[in-house]
Amino acid sequence: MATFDDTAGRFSSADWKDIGDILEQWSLCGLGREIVRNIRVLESFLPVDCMEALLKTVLACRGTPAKDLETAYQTECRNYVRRGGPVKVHPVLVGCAIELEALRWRLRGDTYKALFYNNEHIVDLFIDKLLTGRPLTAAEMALPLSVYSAWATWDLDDSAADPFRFGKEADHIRASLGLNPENWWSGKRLVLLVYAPGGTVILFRPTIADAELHAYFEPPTPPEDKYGLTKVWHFPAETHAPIPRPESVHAPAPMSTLERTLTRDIR
Amino acid sequence: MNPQAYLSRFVPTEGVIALSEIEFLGTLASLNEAEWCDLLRLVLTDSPPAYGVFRPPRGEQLLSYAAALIDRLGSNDRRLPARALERVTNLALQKEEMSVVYNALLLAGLFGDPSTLSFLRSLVLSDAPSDVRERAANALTNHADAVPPHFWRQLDVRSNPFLLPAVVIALSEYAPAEAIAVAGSAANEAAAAMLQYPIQLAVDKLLVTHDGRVELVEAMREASEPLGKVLRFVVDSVGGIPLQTPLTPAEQYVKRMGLPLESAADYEFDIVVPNIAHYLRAINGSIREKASTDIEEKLSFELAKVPSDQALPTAIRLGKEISAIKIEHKLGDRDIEKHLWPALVNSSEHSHVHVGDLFPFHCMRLEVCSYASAKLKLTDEKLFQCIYGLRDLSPEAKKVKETVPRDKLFVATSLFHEDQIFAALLKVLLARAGYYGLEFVPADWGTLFTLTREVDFGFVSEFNDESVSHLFAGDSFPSIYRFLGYYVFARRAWLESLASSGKTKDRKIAQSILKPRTGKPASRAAIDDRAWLVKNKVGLDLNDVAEAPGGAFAEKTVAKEFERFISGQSDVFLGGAVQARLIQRWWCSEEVPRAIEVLNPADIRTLSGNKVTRNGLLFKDELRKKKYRPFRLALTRLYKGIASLLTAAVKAQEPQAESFLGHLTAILAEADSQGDDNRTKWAFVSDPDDLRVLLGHDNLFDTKDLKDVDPGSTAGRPSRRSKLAVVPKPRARA
Repeated sequence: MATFDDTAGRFSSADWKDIGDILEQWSLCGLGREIVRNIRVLESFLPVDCMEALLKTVLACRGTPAKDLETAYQTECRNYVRRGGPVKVHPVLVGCAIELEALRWRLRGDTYKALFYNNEHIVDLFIDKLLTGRPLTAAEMALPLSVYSAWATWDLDDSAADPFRFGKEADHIRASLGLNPENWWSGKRLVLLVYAPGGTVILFRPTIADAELHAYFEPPTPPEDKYGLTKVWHFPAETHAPIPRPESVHAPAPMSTLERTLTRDIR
Repeated sequence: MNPQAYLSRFVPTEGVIALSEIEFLGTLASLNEAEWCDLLRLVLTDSPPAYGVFRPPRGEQLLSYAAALIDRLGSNDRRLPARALERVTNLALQKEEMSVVYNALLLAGLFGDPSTLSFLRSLVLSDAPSDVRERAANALTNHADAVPPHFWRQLDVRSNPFLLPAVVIALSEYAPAEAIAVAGSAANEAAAAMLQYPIQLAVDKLLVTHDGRVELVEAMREASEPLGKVLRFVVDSVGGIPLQTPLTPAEQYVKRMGLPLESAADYEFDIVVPNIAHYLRAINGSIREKASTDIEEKLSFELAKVPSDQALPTAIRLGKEISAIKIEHKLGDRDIEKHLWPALVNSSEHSHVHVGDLFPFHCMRLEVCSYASAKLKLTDEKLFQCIYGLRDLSPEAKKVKETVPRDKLFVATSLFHEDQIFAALLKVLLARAGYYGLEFVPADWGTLFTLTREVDFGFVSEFNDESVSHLFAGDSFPSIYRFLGYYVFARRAWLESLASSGKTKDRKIAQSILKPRTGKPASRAAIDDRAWLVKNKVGLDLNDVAEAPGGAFAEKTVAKEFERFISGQSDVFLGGAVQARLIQRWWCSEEVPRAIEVLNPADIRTLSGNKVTRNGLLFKDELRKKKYRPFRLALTRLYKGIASLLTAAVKAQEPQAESFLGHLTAILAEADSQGDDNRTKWAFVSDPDDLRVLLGHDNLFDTKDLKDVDPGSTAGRPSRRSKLAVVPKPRARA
């Protein structure tokens, strides 16, 4: 049974009806359609308590514009990240992909200020080091790979293999991982970070709370319960069909977990 | 009024996944200051509505994605957001919303305008909390070249150690040895270790020159123990130990690659492109101010290392690299055109450079292709929207679909720009109408016969007066467009030698050609003189230019003639408008006008009695039967619709037309770059503005609707359809 239905008994019948009405109204807009379907039908990893809290937030937005509902919903989602339970496999290597331009700005941010001082040239020196496989210092290895939860994938056939070996080109990986489909990044360099979670980085099944308001997310259809699956998209004139990939979320991992020989960039 | 109404402008229209990059940046650039204030505040407070604008993927920071996208705005479009950011930061400072202030100061690193820099400098010097002053100083280091060194020198890093990294970073730009000395004031070993990267910036700078290496050795000798340790680590990590004989770049390269140092000379040319790219990136932003002689000197130095058998692959690599730099640093076509290309052409002409005169052309060809493919090419959906916005050709396309005789039709498509453009548009329009059976077969101009088959239809030319068709008789050959753009160019050096030491008549005519034209139409006598001077050089009598027999004027030789001309093997070139554009717009800089236009299209029309080349559709025999008349008519109407669409795009100034012409620029560049062995017909333009000129001046599109004509009917002379008796080829152009 989906988590949504499990929460029915926790609301009065009048509130339950209101929740239904609000969700129905929300589903009339493009993004709402995806979110509401995920909430009502597909989500099954999120604990009932968390789903109840999300629905209470929805209920509290009775009569407010959709924009306010979305704001409140996103804020509430952030209280329940990484609650989908651990994935039921143990990949040796996982990977996540990030646009190079965005990585440059991530590394210019406050999380990395103590080493990179918000400076563009220094960040470029570090990225060059990262992508050419030169050794990192102890201080660099202690840096986190991401600021928020990271979304990671792996190779289902051989979890010790390169998680991105399926990818023919950057757009193919973008489409297969369900990164956003705008053409804003097409032709740009995509950085593939490959790392070993080991025993310290716990991989969780992603839920609607992890996905917040992102349209390119879909909980897996039962009976799949081992991990999440990416929601792919198709781009015009694609030469390689996108392939759904296993996915999980985890807390930021340190750079010391990086598998340097497989970490690279691709266009 | 809803102050956030602007957010709806970022929502794509129903049925479209997202705004294209051009639309998105256009929408960002259209925001007013109040809207920028609101949007920036949403970003800085990580608010959901901003997620809908910048659309970071799951798990990604809004701030990073927003910064990366705002960073793509051109310099003019950054002024308002820079001002808005200053306002938002000041407000947040007053309200003590420190997380907003910190994020704002990170974003401030985007903007290098004087107002933002002055704001940041005043913050550094203010009595604001140290966290704020530190971040303001860090933001300033991203524009260190725009802040005078005395600003950094006046900062007391002993009392304010939180400013030390920024001072070291900034001084490494102007005075790297001084930067290292300042780094010595770090309190202890741990603090010095954290300065690894600021010190690396200074070390990198010092390693470039001999004097710098001497200074670095000195700095290492005098460094305190903690600083010396960091310096040794940094110097080792960059692969060069500043001993008596520092490693050359090629030696550093082979060392990094794990190859023996003795082999460095063999790899010297491998690092030519990385070296040039590194240099161009280093002067990013100041390319406009950088004296072109500096750029030229650097390029000459590097290109001299390229063996002639590696010229083409090097040109290709360099072209792609320049495109990447142009995209990364938002350099406009004009910046590259005005500052980089002339330097590249000049440097490749230097006597000690062996890459050849075609080197910069190949380089530019790849640059245009890479840039246009990455930045200007539209998706089919977006292209259709642009077309629809300019002209709705759906009814015409639908009619073709209804009358099409077969599931599959083969279309002859040469590399000429009109063929490529019509093919690209025909394909998307018919696909939208539900017909997917077109196959475009590469062919020479003006024939339906390819190496393997006869195709169904394609463009051919007729050079005649407007009323009678030799090909199809009467009005059965409706013209889609007329071609006006024949040119004759001469190398300036050749004209100058004639002007100084030629025979009397040659000298007189050459002197008159070298003088700028007055703007008035030339007299018939002057045109005859000009034609007389060059006629032996182009191998035919110019009075008969458009009726020349294939041998003298066959288009397949034009690419080679063009290459011979620009590489100095021939003095005169007769060709079409596409190559004329490359010569005029690209090859001839203001400082070095290498070629002079001897005859322009108007002159050549005068010479040929005002005849022009008409271009229309030729159908294979089977399709010329009466029962296919509706198809021929529908197809010709669609072609005329496309002609009218092109006319509209050339005249329109709105972004839709810009995007449309940008896409067509990409189509031409890609087609030209896909020839075998990287051969080219040089049938592309260097940027969309040039395409506008090309289509507007050199093509005259016939947009008048057809009434009762029977295009391509059986009235034509059968001999024209035989394989051997191909249609005449009056066009000598690519």
